[in-house]
Amino acid sequence: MLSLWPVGKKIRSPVELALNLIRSLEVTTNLDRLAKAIKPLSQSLFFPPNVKGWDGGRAWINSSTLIGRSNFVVDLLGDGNTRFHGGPLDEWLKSQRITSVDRWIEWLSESLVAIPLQSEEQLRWKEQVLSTTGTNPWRAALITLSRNAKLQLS
Amino acid sequence: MKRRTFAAGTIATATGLAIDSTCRGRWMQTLASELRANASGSVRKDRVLVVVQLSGGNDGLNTVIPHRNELYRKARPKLGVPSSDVIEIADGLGLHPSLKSLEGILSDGRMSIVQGVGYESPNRSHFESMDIWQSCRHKKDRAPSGWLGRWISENGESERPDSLGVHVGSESVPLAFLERGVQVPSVASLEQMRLKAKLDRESPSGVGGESESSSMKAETSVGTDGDDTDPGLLSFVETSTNAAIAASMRLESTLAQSETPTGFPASRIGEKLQVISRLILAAVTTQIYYVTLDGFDTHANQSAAHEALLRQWSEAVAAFTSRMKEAGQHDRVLMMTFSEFGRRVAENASLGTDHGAAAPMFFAGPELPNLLVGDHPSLSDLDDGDLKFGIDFRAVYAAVIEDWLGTSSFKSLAGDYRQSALGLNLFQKRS
Repeated sequence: MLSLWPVGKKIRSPVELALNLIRSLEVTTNLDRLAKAIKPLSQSLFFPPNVKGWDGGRAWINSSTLIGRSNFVVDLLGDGNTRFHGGPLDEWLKSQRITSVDRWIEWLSESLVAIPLQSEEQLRWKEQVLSTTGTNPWRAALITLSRNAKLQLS
Repeated sequence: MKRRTFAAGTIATATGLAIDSTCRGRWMQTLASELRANASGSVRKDRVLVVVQLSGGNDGLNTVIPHRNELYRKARPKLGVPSSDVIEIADGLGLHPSLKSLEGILSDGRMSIVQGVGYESPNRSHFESMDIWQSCRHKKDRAPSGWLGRWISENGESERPDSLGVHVGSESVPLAFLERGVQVPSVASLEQMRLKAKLDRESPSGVGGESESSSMKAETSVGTDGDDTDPGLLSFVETSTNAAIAASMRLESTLAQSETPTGFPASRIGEKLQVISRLILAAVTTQIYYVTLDGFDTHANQSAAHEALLRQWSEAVAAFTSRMKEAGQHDRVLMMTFSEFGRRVAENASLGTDHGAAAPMFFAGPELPNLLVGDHPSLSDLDDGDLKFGIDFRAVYAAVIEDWLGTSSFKSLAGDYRQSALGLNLFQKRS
């Protein structure tokens, strides 16, 4: 069995954050726009700040980049070109047999987060989703997750 | 007798020792802090300090120019600024012509130039020297800790709605702001601080924790107790996230009614100072703002680059101070500009200058009693081709912390620099 020690010990780079979402949710989208969207998160593809590369680690994290990481998720979901296995999000959810918010939250915490969310945390998450009006609960769950520190770790 | 003089005198009497800048005993610091605590009436919580960092090493000698000095002409045959071009500020001393926009502040008596600032055994590496200026420490410490971070950790208070410090820029938070338990928001731009897609019942804690306040407060605890193997990556990201969301929400509500101040130059430094002026005018209670302007490492073909940078800097400073003046805020907002070192006295063969030592610092904003503080470094008495420093940068910091912010400088500067600060007369009239 692999050691659990390294889990949650590394901060995801913007590219890792993006790929994690895209792979897990089988997303296709406007890649050019995606590449540009991670720029404000302090990582321009093929354009490191110097020959040493990106500092990485804690240097990825500051108020602006954290807000940016959440906005990145919001923008990805809101982009008209974004498809989930070629279709809209609710069809993809159906194909994954995710029919309740509970199941969706469970799935998200298993698939996108390295450090498991405690049941109490999942409960608060669900409350947040259910109390949110103006956007559907599937999207609201992802946006809520985008503001959770655990999404930034791998 | 000034209260500070009195306090210093009292300690000296109480201990039977004269205080000098080398005296850094912890017991003495404690005693002095106690004395200071008794006189807390002078703490100026309404005052603001804007730190402008010129990265790369600004050529001080071509900024504040001893233009009639023969040695200057000899050392700078090609890069020397002609006497006919400089903006004369004292006999034989002139500012670079591209600093024209500072003339208004100069004639208002709202500018001060501290000359020949540096430190013992100057380091000529950008990184090392910048670390020294920002941390006030010569040796690399295990834990990154900066003078402003330590000041924030000492002066933070739970009832203040905003973070005491804010970094404006897209680069990493400067070392100056780092300290265990201190989390300073980094604002790349106000636009980038806006959270898209509001969630109902949004709290600064997101889904993670309990919501307590919706403020730009960020003096929260980072990491776990005293163990420095892993200061808790998750808790670091959690406090950062809370600080970010809180800052974003606080900014949104504070800035809702305020307008963007106009009249700023279109440069990046202009934009940054525009953001800061907007925050100040929106009555955000932050006391320390920090911005950087990069590009001063002028090893080759210096003239045009240096001129453009000085112009950008001075135009932004002038726009900022005049905006503060219009709003009647100029008496409580002080700008301090520094660079990690000056450049060598002699120009090099590539029409540039290389890393040097002592250089001037600039203050602008409130009425300042003396335009020139300290003497221009000698051009004949050099240290291996570099200007010798006459004023330790920590004495300047001490003057700012003690006299401008009205707080104690011991912890922030990791030493006692009050006596040397007193001698500067940065804020007092020369007697």
